Amino acid sequence: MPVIDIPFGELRRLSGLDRSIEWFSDAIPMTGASFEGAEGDTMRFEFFPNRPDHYSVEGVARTLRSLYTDSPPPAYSISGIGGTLEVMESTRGVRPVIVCGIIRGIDMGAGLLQSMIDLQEKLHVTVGRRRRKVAIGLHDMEHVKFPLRYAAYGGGEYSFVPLGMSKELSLSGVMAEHEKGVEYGGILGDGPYPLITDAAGSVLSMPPVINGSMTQITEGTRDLFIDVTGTSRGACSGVLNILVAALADRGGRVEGVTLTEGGRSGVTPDLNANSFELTSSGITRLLGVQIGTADALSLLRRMGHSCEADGETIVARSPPYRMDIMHPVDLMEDAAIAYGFNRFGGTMPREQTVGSRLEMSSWSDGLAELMLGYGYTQVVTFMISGSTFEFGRMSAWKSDAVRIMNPVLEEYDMLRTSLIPGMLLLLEANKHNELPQRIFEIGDVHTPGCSRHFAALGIHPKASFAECKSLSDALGRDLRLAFEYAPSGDSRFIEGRRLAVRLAGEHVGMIGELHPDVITNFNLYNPIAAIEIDIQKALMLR
Amino acid sequence: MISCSGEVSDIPAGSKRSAEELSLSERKILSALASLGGKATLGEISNTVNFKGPVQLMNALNWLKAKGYVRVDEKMLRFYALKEQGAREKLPERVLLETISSGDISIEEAASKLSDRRLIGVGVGWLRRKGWADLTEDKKLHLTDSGRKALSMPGEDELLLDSMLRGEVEENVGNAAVLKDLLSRRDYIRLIERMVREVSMLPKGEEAVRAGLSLEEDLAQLTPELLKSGKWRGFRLRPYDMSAPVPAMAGARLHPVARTIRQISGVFAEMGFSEIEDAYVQNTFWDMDALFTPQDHPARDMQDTFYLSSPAEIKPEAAVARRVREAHETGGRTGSSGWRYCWSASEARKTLLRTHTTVATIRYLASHRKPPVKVFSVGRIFRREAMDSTHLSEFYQIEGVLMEKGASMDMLCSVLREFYRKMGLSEIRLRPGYFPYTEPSMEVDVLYNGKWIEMGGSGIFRPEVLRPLGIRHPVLAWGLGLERLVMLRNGLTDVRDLYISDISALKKMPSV
Repeated sequence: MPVIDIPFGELRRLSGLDRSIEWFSDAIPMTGASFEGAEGDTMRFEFFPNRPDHYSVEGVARTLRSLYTDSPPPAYSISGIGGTLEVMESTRGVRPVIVCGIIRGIDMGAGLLQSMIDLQEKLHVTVGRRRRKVAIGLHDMEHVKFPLRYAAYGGGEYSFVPLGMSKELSLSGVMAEHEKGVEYGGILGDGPYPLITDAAGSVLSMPPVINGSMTQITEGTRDLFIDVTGTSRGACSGVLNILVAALADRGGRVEGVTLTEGGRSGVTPDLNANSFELTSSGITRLLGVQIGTADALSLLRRMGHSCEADGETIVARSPPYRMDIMHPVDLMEDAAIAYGFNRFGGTMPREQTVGSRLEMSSWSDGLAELMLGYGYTQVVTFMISGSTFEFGRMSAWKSDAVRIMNPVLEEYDMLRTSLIPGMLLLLEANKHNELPQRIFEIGDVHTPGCSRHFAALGIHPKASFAECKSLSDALGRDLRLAFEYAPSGDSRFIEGRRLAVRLAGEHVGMIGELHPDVITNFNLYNPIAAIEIDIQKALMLR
Repeated sequence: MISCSGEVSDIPAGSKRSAEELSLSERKILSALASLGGKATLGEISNTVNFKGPVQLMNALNWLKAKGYVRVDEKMLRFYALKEQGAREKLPERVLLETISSGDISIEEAASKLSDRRLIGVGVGWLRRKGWADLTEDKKLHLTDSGRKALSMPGEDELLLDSMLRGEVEENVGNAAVLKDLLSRRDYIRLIERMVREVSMLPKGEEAVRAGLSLEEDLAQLTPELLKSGKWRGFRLRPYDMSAPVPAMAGARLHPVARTIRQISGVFAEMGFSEIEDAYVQNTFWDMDALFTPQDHPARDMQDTFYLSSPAEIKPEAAVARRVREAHETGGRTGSSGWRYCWSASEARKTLLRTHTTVATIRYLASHRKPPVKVFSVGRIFRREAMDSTHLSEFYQIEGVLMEKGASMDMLCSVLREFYRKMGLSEIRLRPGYFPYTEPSMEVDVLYNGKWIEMGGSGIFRPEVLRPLGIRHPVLAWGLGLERLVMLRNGLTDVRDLYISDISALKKMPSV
């Protein structure tokens, strides 16, 4: 989740709230964020992925202004058409979606330029899925000659001077030589490559990789052209609207761009609101507190939605920069945020139910208590294990397993099939502690089906077969499990010092002295008495 | 020696102690020291008091010193012994003295009486120095009056040499000059310098002696024999220094994670919730799709989730899959606009290690669609993260759902508040949060030592989640962290200490 730096001074100015840094660090989390600390005049918050409109100070200030002042929700609209862009069919299979907008009369100085570049980057990483789904181009309009054109070309068909370089490169040259070409080239593959060019044939952008140097924005930029390209129309429009709204809040005038494609044409940005219908009784039901229609209207307006009531029914129009509203329930949550999450908590469940634990859980508690009495300390180890430990170090004992396709560390590539290897790793990590050490674990293993196991190990100079036999005899007696013993060929244990544990004629576990190879494979140098029982099976057979 | 307190601890606490707190050994030493005039060497004390060995004496003495009854000074003493142990020849001047007792003889003649003629110079020198003889005018040795007396009375030096036959002789004011002379004669004695401890009584010791010291036998450990026979009555039961350190005790115990899970389960059971569990190996359909998580959601990246190569595929049931697909693509009949993308059935068949226990509750709800449903589970979940002091790739989640007719956000907050109150955390804060499958969504923070600590998430399942499964009533849900709770309660700062435990540290974990 993105962490955003919010400059305190800008926030105060844009929100119109003359409040302290402490007030903001308490108030902003209550709109949906985690406060990550403040450094000087910069506050740092982690925002949730449903509110990309909060990824810059403009959006956060807008939310606070609505919520804490009486100012009505801002209305965003386009004042005229600033230009035309023709979408060529060649882009359809390459990068099918493009939306554009124009902002005029903006002052990119005083930190706005950096704020916009930061916002662009955060949107790329999150909603944009690292530019694959959405990519943004910001351009200084000074040298741009309309109409524009969005078309795809082969790697050698076009060349231009990309941002950050002084020489002209072919499209395949950009992919091979430019830092951004290398980083994002995978999205386009071997071409064709989409380009936005102007009437003079100059390149504005090669989305999603890099802009042309001709339209580089600076603090002196007054008029901006924004292109947003990608694979999802909804995501691209939402992102464009977030940028347009932020720049409009900074005093920019929004103009539309007419897009033509084949015979059809339309204007972007689309700043029309999404409408949803809901009722105050619906809000009351979901939130569990009485919310009248007038209250509901007020709560929704404070969250930036313009709304009217028609009897019981409320029609709410959510602002164009809100990408997260897909169901009336989303508006109800907004009402709850405006109401204040800290005001909830007055209703206990009404229906009578009887609580219970699983039989296995309570039975395992009893087993654990017995083990404490026998002097064994409980441990909990990882379920993710590796063939190296499960099979290699355990001396060629094989079994089917659940295998991980993308482990973090290559050797941790499966789920454990037995508790013993993980416990031996733990003993290895405890070599500095004095002996004897006696430990037990109750946990799940996969062989490859899942089952609950119990295992205990005792390591000390005099550990022997008798120790684990005593333990299994005691467990059998104390848990009323009629264990029987049978010869076993399990190579993890010493021949002649190992027995299979059986219950009602079925194999449920092993006891024995671990084989010297196993012990030394875990860099241990004292005898180990071990027991492992499939207690899920034992409980079934009991 | 653990039974007698004086011998195991370092320095006793407190300065004012009565003589009654002295051990028998200590009392014996004080009493001996008094009889030796208040100042004595260790050897003298040892000769007076019968101890089992030097260790017992030194222990008791150190205690007396620490308690302020005596002072111990170290000083260097000089002892002398014969050069050749056992050999004690007559001094040459004695031989000459005996020779001249029957008349004057010449030096030449006297030399022949000596065992070694070369000793004649030394012998004559000492004869004259001791005043036993003088020289006549014709150079003959002549016995003097004091020489005559000396015939029947050995000199001081000879007496010292004799006593050295029995053992070392300590230098003192009286014999120092003679010993110095003897030492200068090189052939007879050697000097041994030795550090000795001298014990002197301090006022506190004198006071204790004046108050009277009982030399009765002390009893440290009661034995069955003493108890049965009643003999213990003949002894004094020595009071121990009860502030002295005692051996540390640590025993087997439950792992803090397991103990906390047990407590949590008890709390939910008390609140009317039943425990459920489900498989760790799931398909993306139940873990993600059924929970309205779009197929391009970052949580589904290979970066963040463990996918499985075996088993490689688990197919969801077709009818449920169709309704979930509609919810994703267009909202279907859920009243939602949906995510508006093309849902892939093969993406939903992929297998993974569950990323949350919410998959257990949603699967439970799919087969328990009628209210009331109140279930919980505490189970291991998996995230593809590199391990460090605050991250693990597997950890526990405390999961619960509540479905009843009037279930609401207000009720959800009450249940969470009650849960944490029963767990001993009385102040919680609910903050707007975000999860693809709940709306409203809340972050749950608890107040601990004046700081808000994030504990997990909760919310009400979205219609896009419930409708495709045929659920018509609101479902409240939460997924809370376990390890952080355990760490808070046990004062741990590194989460790895829970799973790669130090066994001796485990045995000392507070039971809170």
